[in-house]
Amino acid sequence: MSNYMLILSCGPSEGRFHRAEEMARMLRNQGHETTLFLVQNATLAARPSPAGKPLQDLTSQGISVLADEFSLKERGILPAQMAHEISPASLDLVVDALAAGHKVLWE
Amino acid sequence: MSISLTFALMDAPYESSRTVTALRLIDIAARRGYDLKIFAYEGAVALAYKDQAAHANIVHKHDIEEENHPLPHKWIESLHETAVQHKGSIEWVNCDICGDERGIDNYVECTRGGTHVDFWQFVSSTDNTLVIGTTTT
Repeated sequence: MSNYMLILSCGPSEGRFHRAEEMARMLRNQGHETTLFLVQNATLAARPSPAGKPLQDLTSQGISVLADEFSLKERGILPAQMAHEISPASLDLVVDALAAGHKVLWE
Repeated sequence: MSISLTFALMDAPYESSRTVTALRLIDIAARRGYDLKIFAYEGAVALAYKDQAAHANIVHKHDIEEENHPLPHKWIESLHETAVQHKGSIEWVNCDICGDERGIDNYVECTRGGTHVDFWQFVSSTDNTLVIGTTTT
């Protein structure tokens, strides 16, 4: 089994958003360790909302969902305003994953 | 032995936040002293275009200095300096075909022109690769 990190940069109204969500679910179903890392407008889905609900549901399947702290700040989203399933994280984690040889894909 | 990473960029400057996030990633890796290979493809060749010029902002009544307009080729030079300071390296290659198509051939000195062969060699020789595609495909 492999370690996958999917980087998602588009907002919840775009097709890529749901494609990444589906890919994360499929990878996890195949037994891979899977992390979804939200950057830029994707962090808008970190707030409790119907649009972000599918991402929040991913965590119940063992998928880690993280949101870039810098992108959150740019959009005025405070940690206290985030869905509890999603954690703020440093972009350093993406470089950590690359350095560790994980498969990192940008949707 | 130092960790080596390849990044492929595709978006033109001033058009997508992806470029800013990509440069943030490269900056983090440069500060760790990693050996980095960057392949600028399609519109991303314009990132290193040396003739980018700062401008004033008449609407906000800012002169050139006050506006302090960001220039991506300056960011690239700064990334190189960061890498060297941390005993790492950046080899930045601009796709020649993409540059020809766009009439861009005047690159900052810390980058060079190259071909897809360079990208293949980067991917083959480094520990890992991240491809950051365009937002339009």
